[in-house]
Amino acid sequence: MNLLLNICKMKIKVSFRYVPALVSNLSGQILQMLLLFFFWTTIYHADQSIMQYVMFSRVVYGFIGGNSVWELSENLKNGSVAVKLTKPMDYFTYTYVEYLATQIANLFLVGIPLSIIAFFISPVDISIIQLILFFISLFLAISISFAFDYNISLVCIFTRNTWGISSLRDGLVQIFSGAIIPLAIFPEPISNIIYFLPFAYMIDIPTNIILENDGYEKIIIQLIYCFFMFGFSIMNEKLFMKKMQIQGG
Amino acid sequence: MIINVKNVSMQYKISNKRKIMALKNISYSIDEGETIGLIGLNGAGKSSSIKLLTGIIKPTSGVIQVMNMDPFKKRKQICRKYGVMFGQRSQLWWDLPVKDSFYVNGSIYGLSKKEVDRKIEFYKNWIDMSFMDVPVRKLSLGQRVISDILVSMLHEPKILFLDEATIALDVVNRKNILDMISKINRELKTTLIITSHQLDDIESVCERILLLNKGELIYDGSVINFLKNSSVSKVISVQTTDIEQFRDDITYIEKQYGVLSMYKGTEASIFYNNEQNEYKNIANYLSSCESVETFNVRGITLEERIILMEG
Repeated sequence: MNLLLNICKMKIKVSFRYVPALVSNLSGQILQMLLLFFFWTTIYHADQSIMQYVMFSRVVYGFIGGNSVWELSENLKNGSVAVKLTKPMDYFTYTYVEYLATQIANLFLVGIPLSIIAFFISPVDISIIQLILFFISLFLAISISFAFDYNISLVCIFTRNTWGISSLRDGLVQIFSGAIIPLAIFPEPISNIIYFLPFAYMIDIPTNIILENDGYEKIIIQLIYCFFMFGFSIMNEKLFMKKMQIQGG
Repeated sequence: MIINVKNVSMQYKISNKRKIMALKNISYSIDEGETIGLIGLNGAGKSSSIKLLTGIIKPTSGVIQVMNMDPFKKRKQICRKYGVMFGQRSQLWWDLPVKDSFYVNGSIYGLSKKEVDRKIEFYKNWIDMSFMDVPVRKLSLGQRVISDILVSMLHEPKILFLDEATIALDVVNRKNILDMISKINRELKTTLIITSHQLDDIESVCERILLLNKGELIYDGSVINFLKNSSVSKVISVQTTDIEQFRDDITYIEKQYGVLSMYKGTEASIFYNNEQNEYKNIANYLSSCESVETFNVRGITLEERIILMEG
């Protein structure tokens, strides 16, 4: 916990050392949110419920942050993993703590400003219980997102192509998580398949919880998915560590 | 015995057809409190040895025991008992003051902010730490290396691995860092394992040398014996105008004074034993050679020593 808080503080400090980068990231997220707002109101004449979904799915997307495949796979490819492996933690746990700290910092720096704008554009009533459930679901969504990126970064070592796989990951997450298109408007057979994939558990479930479309039962499914993804990641890590070669000084 | 390495080999797979042996059937043991210099040229297997001893990678064959544990299988337990500093991979946070990196690394080992501050105060007895509030990116290379070494010492490890810690440092910074490393060993009784391709670094800190060459352990013994047993201690470096013309002169010098020589381009190196006073005679002869432009005396490099050892 102490480590998580310390890394979190460091991430926030680093962000404030580069204020222009922080401002441009936040402006980009706000711009995307406004773009989606005008897109859905002007072209599709979307109703209030769709607008609320679109706005809050963007907030969740902002909370979860971007793609960490690049950073994770570069660590593995350039041998920086060696430094992390000299610490008394699993590589998976160490990188998970770092990722979690980044997302907590992101929550304050990007998530909260985006939430304020979303509430301003599409107001919703939120109870305390809903808010607690939302944060539990958000934590699980962040964990699933990390485990997904972690496994992809391991694949990048063998394919030797981080850029292409990382872009594919972005495309899949944006389309099938609900970050751009509400999953409810997909045809039912496709929607059923989407709920078998991890993407919906990253954005759609926390969004539906804050909008009171879903309850705690979805969090239980999310929890099961999270356990499954973590188990799979730890198994992959063990296989990878046995095969790993860090050559040179 | 704190480290025991028995018949260890390490093979890296470059492609399906190409494999290279980084270490070939190496065996040695290290006692608690020893200062070991792991030396060799680039690609000798020094860094691979450190990665094997720290449990980062698994040997292809052989047995490694660090504090009676297999470092690869028990990596998490052993990590608490050793510290590592990789000269080319920093564990400091680039954008933040050095102190912050100390706090984060301290918390990995369960140390509170107060405990870390206490340690920083203690380190001030060893070396100037006035740069603790300066962002890492603004530090000099010497200050960054000092910080990296001290961060690895936060949890008071029994073994400290320093992989090319003094790489690219100037003379003054190298001396400061080597003095600090000696203090760590003297005051905390920490076992030190230092890799370097500079013999001078090892001479000033280590009592024992493990000399690796192309993955083989070619010398394991005291630094004093290593230097004493070598028949060559000094080199006359000769710059010639025409190496072809100088070849006859060098053949004569070899025969007359019983010395060895090597040449590369227009430069020749004559190896001699300092104790036998051959320098004066050779220098006199070189002064009379028409093809000799300049010459000077220097210490023998590790690369040259290895070439001579190989015959």
